[in-house]
Amino acid sequence: MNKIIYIALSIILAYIFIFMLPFAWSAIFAAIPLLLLKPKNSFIAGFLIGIIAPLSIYVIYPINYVLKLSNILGNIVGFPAFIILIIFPLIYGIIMAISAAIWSGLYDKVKK
Amino acid sequence: MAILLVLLLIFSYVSMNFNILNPANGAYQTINYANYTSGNFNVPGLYASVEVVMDNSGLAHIYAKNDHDLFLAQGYFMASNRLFQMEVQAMAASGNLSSWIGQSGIPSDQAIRLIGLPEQATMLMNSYEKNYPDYYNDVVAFSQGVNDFINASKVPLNFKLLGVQPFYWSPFYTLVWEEYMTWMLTTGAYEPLESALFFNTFGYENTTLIWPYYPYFTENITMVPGDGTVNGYNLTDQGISQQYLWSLNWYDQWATGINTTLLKNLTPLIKYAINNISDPLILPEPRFLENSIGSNSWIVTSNYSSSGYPMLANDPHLNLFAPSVWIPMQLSDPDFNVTGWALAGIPGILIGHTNRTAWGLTTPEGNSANEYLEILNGNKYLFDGSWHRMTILNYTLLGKTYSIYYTNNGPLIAKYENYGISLNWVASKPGYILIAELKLDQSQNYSDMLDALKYWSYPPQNFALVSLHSAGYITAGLYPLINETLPDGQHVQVIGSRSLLNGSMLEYQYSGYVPYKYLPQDKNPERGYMFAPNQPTVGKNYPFPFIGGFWASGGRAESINAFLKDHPGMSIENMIQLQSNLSDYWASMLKPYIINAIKGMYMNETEKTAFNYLQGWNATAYISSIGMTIYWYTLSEIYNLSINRILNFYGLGGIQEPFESTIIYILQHNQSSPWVNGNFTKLARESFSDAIGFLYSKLGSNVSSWFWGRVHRVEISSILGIPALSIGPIPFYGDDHTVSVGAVPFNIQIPEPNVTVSSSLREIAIPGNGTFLGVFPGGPSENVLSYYFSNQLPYWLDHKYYNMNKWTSEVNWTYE
Repeated sequence: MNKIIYIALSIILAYIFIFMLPFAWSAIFAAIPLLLLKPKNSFIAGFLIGIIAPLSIYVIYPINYVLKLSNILGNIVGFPAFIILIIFPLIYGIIMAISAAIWSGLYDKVKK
Repeated sequence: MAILLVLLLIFSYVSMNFNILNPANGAYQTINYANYTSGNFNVPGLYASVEVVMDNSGLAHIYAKNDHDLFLAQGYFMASNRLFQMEVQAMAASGNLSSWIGQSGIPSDQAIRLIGLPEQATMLMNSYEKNYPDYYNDVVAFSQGVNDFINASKVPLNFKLLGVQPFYWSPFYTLVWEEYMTWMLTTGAYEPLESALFFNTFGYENTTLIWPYYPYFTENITMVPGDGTVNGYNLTDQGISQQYLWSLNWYDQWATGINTTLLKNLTPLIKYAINNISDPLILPEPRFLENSIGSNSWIVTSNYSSSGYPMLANDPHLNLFAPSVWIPMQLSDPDFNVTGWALAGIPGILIGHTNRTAWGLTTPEGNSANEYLEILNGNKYLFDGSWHRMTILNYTLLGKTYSIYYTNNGPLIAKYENYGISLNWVASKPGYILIAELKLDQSQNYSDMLDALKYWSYPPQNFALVSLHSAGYITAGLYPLINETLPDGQHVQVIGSRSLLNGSMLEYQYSGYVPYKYLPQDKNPERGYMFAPNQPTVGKNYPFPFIGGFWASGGRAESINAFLKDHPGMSIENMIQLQSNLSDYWASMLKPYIINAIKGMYMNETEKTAFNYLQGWNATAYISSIGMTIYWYTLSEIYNLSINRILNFYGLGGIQEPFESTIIYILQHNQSSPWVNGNFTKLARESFSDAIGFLYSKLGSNVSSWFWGRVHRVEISSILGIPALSIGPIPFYGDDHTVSVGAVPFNIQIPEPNVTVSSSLREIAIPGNGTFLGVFPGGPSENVLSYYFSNQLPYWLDHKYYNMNKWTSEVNWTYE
């Protein structure tokens, strides 16, 4: 039960940071509640929360505009629209996964 | 753990480059502002609430209860649609672009500072505040509206893309942008320099042959009908023979104060000057005798109109940008009721109509700037026999300090050892064109418009004017005069020069300006119409000869003249027909020479088919025209094999090629001229073969598929030059000389370089019966995601119009 609360807390923090701050490294702080999970689980949970939370935000916009803007941004930097759509969530997920693992590892060390 | 920490640091660092892709508050957030929804907005500073209605064409109707609120609301509305455009324009115009885009902005900033735009805008702002506080307050209110939007809103998309933040607007930015537009439309900044280069290289005979004072065939198609007499005054009244005056060598020492041998030695300095004042943002290459920015306008008097009311048509040709420099709107309060197109960043309506008047603008191509040769000694310059210390202005860009030196004539735009070239531009003194604009916006009759234009200082513009019952033109603005002593001892005040003037001699200084009464003008002409698509404005008997007149070829003027002459009883349909006209007048004259030259030559099957298309071609530039493609590539090769080869040989590659009308003149008089390689028949045959061979290799053997729109396309470029934010390329009609213009250079390439200059708006007005039609290639919004980014483009491409008097409401806002 506690694990679910930690995960829920992390999800809430992830959304708050994504909405409040432009920086993907804010995922470091969104991962803090996951320190109570085992390192491997916290890594997986962090990655999933980190990638799904920003991805899910696209649904607040009309999908045709999301695709159009992704195409435009992709044309500017020379990447396919799909990469533009996925790159921020992916980086956010990776940072959150690594952070969660680090927080969890530190917690384990402190506990010992 | 250590590895994870290192990875975290690396990913966190890398992630900083992707903040813009944050779905919640990065670029995607701007999707929320892509479309408009009705509602109320809190706009601080308003005295009363303001209603804003967006109609089905994207034109915003702003209804205020007083002038302060009207301009404040206009500023708020403009910023809400065009803030990035306004600010990037202001940055460019104030010579501060490098602060946004770094080192790559330095060359542009240097050119702009050298020309003096920021100093002039500051001087103008102070002058408005002191001398015209009411008008200054209008600009202050406009600025407050812009800043209200900045305070209330999220950062628009383009700011996010560029990674910069909006800055607060002030009257300075409005005025500096106004100065920038003035500079773009000023004649005389480059032309005398370029003309001097041509003279230095080819001598007087060739220069007058290739660049005559009046372009060939234009003497009888001037804007003001007749011989040049204006309000009863002409050269003859001064006892001066026009034949004598126009036969003189105006490059000679008596006219400029500069020995022609010395002038020849100044060629590198002249080229240096052209480079220094060429803003690379506007002109990727230094400009030479370029006339690509032109415009069309004409008026029809009540006697010549089927409706019995005077009519007006205008389409100013400017660089097409996405978003457009224009934004359509109506401004309404107890003092104003005006509809038309405002320039983004500037209050009021520049081109448009009231219920009783309408006006349009074209550029008259006569010098309002001139260049002076300065004799220098260290930091001193020679003037009227004594040495004077130059004024030095320092400025800093990205931490490096630069200096500008001023003589009594203006800034030194080039300097080498003991010689310099200074730019004397009328805009170096305050001119109140905003007052003229706002007075036009309130005009109720023809004389109101004439009174308003007394304030119009620069750049001189041909104003087409119509009221309920009158129609006419005036070329309003300041034309500096130079008091010349002719070789026969007579004195005459002339406008501009063909070459550098001697800045150290008192006699070549400005002696005043053309009096308003004698500016080129006419009203309700007897023949029933007037037109001003950049051809000479007045005939050769004009009392103040345009020595510095660098007119367009007159091809569009010929087409307009022919059409109007053939259509007594002009209807609104005829006006539309003429504005969409795709006949190339010069092509219709030149084609028979080409056909005659090539018809006897040996041809392969492809050439025979192409020849048949060319022979049957009616000199029109429709997208579907095949003859146009064949003509254009053949003509381009004619230029490349003859004139361009000569210009390149003498180090003038890139200079504007002579007009087609000059080629026609040469062919009429001497088909063995060295300018057509001594044998036009041989040249035309070789060019035709080359052109067809090239088209065959690029477009295939099926000549019937070589239609113009396949090689000729328009691109409406983003102001950042980013293709993904641009519109097009789209197959496009027209060429340099069609009324519906689509100018491209003489290039042998597939496709041709994209058309980037064309009709920036189209206006047709009949105040007498309340008909006001308009369209422009864009929409009110700069948000590339918005429908209103380019909602009028399909109509513009199809030569269709919106009825600006009949509309339906789409969105309603209340500013309070």
